[in-house]
Amino acid sequence: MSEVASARAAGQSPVIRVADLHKRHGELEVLRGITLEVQRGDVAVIIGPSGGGKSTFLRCLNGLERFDEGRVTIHGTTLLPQMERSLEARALREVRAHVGMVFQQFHLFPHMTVLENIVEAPIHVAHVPPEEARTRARTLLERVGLAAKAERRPGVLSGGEQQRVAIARALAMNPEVILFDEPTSSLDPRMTGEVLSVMSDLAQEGLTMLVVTHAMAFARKAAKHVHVFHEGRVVESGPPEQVLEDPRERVTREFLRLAWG
Amino acid sequence: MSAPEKAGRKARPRRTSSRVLSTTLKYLCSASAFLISGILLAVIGYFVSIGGSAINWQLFSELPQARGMEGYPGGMLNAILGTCVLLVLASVVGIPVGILTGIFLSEYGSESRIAAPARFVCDVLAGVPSIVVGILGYELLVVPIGHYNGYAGAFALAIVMIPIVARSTEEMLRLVPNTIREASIALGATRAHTIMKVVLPAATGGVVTGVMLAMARVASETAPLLFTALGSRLLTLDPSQPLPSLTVHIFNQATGPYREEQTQAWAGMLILILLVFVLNLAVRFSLRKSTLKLG
Repeated sequence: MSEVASARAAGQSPVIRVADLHKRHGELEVLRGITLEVQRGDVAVIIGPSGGGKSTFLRCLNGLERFDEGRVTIHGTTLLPQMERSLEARALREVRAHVGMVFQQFHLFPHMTVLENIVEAPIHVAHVPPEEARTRARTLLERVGLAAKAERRPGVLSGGEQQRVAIARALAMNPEVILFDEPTSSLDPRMTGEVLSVMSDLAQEGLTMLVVTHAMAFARKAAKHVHVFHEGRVVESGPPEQVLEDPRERVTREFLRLAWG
Repeated sequence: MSAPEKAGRKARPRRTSSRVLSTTLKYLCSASAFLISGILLAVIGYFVSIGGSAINWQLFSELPQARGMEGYPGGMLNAILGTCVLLVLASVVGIPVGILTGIFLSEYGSESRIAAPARFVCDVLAGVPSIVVGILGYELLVVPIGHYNGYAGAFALAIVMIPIVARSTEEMLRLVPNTIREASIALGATRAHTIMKVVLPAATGGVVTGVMLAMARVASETAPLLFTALGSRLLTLDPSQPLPSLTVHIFNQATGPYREEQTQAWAGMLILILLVFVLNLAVRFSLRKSTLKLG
């Protein structure tokens, strides 16, 4: 029995279910029929050569990009390529209420303090009382080791600190799942370590995470499943010990040889 | 001689010429910056030397007096207050309409067919001589009402203001990185919320600078007011009546036959420049902490 089937048999339903996802930029087909599931509490890692469609895939999941064919179901809400405008808006609101996203370049609001960055969405989107949102934001900042930087502007923080603020900002909305789009790619090794440590803690706490990364050590340590993307397709999937230690596909072997150096 | 040495010798003249070009450009840019600062200082200096002697408390506290009357030439209190009323009324219409137009062009323009024509109209409107706008105000708000009035003046100034505010707002919003919009959307915010709470505040400094430029421009307009608000020697804040303004007062004094009045016109110009200068400094000072450094 496959892992997905076992999960279903055990009564688990996937938080993310993607079926036959296609995305085109003009003539170029960026995603060519991606099918993938992520179970609640799992950490799924997506690896693969640049240009393979990894980031585009994540952006399609929370509606930052439209897709051309297929179906995305997140926490019971389905996104389709051709949806009536009001239905699509409602579906996207639902999806984004359950999905947080952490970007490669942090994308913090530069005109707000760290604390304001974190409370902005809870107060204005989730309508949490401001005092409650601020208390929770301070707790989250403590959790990512940045309690002392609450009143600073993002511009004066290091890259690693900014990324940890971005993680706290995503967590502030109590998401079911967080999508990480190469969260350490623009960081030096020390900052990468800081961010991966926070992510590992979240993984241990059972947060569902879908992570696009080149950090193989993190994938081996934290992931339950590793998916290899190449030219818009999932060329290989499986547990990290199989995909990273004993890859079946030539593309995966080649990528890992370069990734491990 | 090895190939790298040959390549080095060939590359040297190019490096020298690009260094000369770089230095020349740097000095040309610096010279232009000094020139423009020098022009501003020269203009202010000239106004101070001629009109400075006429600046006194009476200028700000008294009404103009006719020749032969006690206290001649009097002050320009009515003109200063009238300008404030006209500026406030024009801003109440011009700033929100201009900013909303700028938001439309920047944030919704890519998906709307009317964005390109609207942008073109803004550019044309910004280039229309202000006297034409004055005639429009005359036709729309002076003729139907039956007499010159402040509302017509404020309307004409608002029409001058709108394209300046709209285009500067659009440009400033376009400078806000798209990634910030995406981050907000990804957090579940609506587009309207993203614009009002994230994009616009991030561009506040630039948008306000555009508004200040527009206010400075209309504060120094004379032609549209000659056809609309006309001017008055009385102290009045009622926009339904002919309303005095600094620029029209300066125009009347400067074209008058007497030296005292002409000197007062220079003082009026100096006050106008200082008003704009102080307003700019005050806004920049108050916004210095809350503004995203763009670029």
